[in-house]
Amino acid sequence: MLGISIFMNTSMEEVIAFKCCALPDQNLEIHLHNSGTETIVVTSRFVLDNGPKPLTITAVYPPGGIKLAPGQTAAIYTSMDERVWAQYRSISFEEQGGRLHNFAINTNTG
Amino acid sequence: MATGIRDKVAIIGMGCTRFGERWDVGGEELLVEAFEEAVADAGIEKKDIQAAWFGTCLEEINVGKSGLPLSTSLRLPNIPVTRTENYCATGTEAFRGAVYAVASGAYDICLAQGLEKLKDTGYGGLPNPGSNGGTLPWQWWPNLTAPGSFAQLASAYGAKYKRSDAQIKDAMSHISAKSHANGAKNPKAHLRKVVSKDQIKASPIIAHPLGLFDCCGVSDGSACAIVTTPEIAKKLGKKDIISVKALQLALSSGSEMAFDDWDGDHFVTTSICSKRAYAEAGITNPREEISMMEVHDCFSITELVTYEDLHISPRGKAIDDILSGFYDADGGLPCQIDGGLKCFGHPIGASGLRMLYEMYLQRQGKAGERQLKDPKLGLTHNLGGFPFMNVCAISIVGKLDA
Repeated sequence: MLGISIFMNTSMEEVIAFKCCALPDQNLEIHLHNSGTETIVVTSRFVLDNGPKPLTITAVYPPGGIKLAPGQTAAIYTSMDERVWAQYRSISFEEQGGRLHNFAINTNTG
Repeated sequence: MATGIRDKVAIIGMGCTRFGERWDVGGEELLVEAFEEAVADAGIEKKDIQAAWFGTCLEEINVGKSGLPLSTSLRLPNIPVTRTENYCATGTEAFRGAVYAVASGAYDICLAQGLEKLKDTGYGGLPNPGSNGGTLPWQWWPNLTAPGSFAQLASAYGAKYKRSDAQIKDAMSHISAKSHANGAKNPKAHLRKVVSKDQIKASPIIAHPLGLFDCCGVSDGSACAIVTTPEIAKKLGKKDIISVKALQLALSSGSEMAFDDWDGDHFVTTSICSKRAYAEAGITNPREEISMMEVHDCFSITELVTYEDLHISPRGKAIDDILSGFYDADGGLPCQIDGGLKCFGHPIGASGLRMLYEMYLQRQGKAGERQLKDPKLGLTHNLGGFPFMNVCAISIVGKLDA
């Protein structure tokens, strides 16, 4: 079971730009949490939906998939225009193997 | 019979630039920025400075060799300027040169200044020294990375004291969150945002168990100190004079690298250096007598282990002290009260003097939002190199004759 926490305009942005080899504007931080009993690998991409048109975000750091042991939390970061983000109501992640995890977002806005 | 440095030298002025990606200025301007603050603080004129020590480590990046970058940038009037380099202890080494010169009686007033300008490389970490690393070190350090070697320190510590990865990670996260909370209150810090323990724990792993927030970055910056004798300081009208209580160095003999009985879980040099420093300063119980510290938090595990090597936390118990808040701003012995390397980054030549700058401000009640209540003795600690072979520098400063 995958859970997520979202941090728009994260305080991490400055740190990622500072320490991580010129990766600026990583203003969106998403924590992925594996509450299941088996290790999963989430691909380093996500899809925004229930908005103008589905938007696939592939420029995600770190790349190459996020391996999560049971109970483990790991963060991904990307650049995201707040105005674009606000237009969407769902976000989905995909495990290696094809299992999809869909979450509601921006439910308190608009 | 040597009597040490205690109360023989006073600090009468200090300056420190804002640290960060200073693309707005060159190294020369950074030197001037820190120096002008120090001279104004000291209440002297440039011509009163009789000799200077200039600390820079990676001179091939922006700065240049010799003492000339300092003498020409500051237009020092043909005085002796000595360039120092001793890895991450470079800034404290410059301070040591100036302090010993005054203590010897050779000069009345001396300057110590450190500078590093590393961000212009566009690379996130320290540059590879290449052939400048020395022939023998490269044989000892094949394929070495700093995060990798310090990560092994965490593994060895956990194995020795039966501490799980989760316990070590929790303590390291506390260390980093504490430093970022402190740095958020410092206008001269590079990074000034509060970061939660959850964010720190979730950040990408650099070298297990060290994550992004367990590793300091590099930066641009300069810091300096003007020192003289206590007698001259009094003649200049200085009140509550801050003096040097101890100034010690300890360098590896090579025995750790040769794997004698060193088990990889601590710093031999820091353990030795701190004992010498306490003896020089007349300190018998550092946990009770030291009021504040700036230690070398290049990696969070370094800070954790250093608490024990400084003989403040008992062996194997630093995690308990950290999680109890003992080293927090409102704890028993605040550490990295200015934000430390985590928030300032590590412009190597400047870091030791930047640490002293915070002790100096705190002692005078000039630390603004970060001000501690009546701190007495401040300790700074630098560690250059790797766990198995390094340079350790420790200074202790406090009120003259107290």
